[in-house]
Amino acid sequence: MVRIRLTRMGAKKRPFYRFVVADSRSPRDGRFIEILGHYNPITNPMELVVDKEKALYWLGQGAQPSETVKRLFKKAGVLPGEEAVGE
Amino acid sequence: MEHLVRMGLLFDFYGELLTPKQQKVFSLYYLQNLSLGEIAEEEATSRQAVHDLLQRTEKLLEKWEGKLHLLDQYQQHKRAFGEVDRALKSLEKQLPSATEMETAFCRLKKSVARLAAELDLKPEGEDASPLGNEDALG
Repeated sequence: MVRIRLTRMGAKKRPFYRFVVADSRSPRDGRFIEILGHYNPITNPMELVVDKEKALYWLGQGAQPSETVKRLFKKAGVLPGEEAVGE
Repeated sequence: MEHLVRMGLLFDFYGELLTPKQQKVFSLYYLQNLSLGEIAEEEATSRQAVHDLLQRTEKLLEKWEGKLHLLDQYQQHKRAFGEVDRALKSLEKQLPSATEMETAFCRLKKSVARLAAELDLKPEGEDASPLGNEDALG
C-alpha cells in the first residue's frame, strides 16, 4: 500500500517536516516516492506548503494519508473540512 | 502546538533517557509517522502492545518535562532571545560609524551571539525551512 506520511527532518530542537509519498512495505529505510510539501511548525506563523495537484493525484491513486497528514491537509485546504491556515 | 510536534520536541530533550526499544518505537511513530499497525508488524508484536508502549513513553516524557521544564525553558529563552536580537538589529541601523559606541555595540553583539550558541538558540523567524537539506533525523 502507498502511504502519505509526515516525516521529520532537520536538527534537534528545530522540527521541520516533509510530506512524503512512500510504500508501506519499506518503512524503515526512509525511501520515498515523492515529496508533496513541507510543514515548519516553529516559524511564526507556521509554514504549511502542499503541492495540491500532486497530493490530490496520489490520494486519487488510493494513497492512504496518516491521521496527522489528513488533519494538516485539511488545514492546507487540500482536503475539505477545515478553514485554510492564516485566516 | 500539534501533539506530534510536541512529542518530537520532548524526544529531542529526553529521548536519550528512554530504553532503546522505547526510542525505536517512539521514533517510528512520531518522527517517521508510521501507523500502529505498521510498527506492530515491524516489531512482530500486537497493535495493542505498541499502543501501550507509546502511552507509557509519552507519560514518562511529560513527567520528566513536568519536573525539569527543559522544553518550556528553551521556548522561553528563545522568545526572550528573539526580543534581544530584534532590539539589537534596530539599534544597529541607527548607530553612527567608527565611534566608541560602535565598538561597545560590537562587543554586545558578540556576547549575545555567544550566549545564543551556548543555549543552542536562534532568534524566532530565523528558523527558516531547511529546503534542500537532505539530513534526515536519526
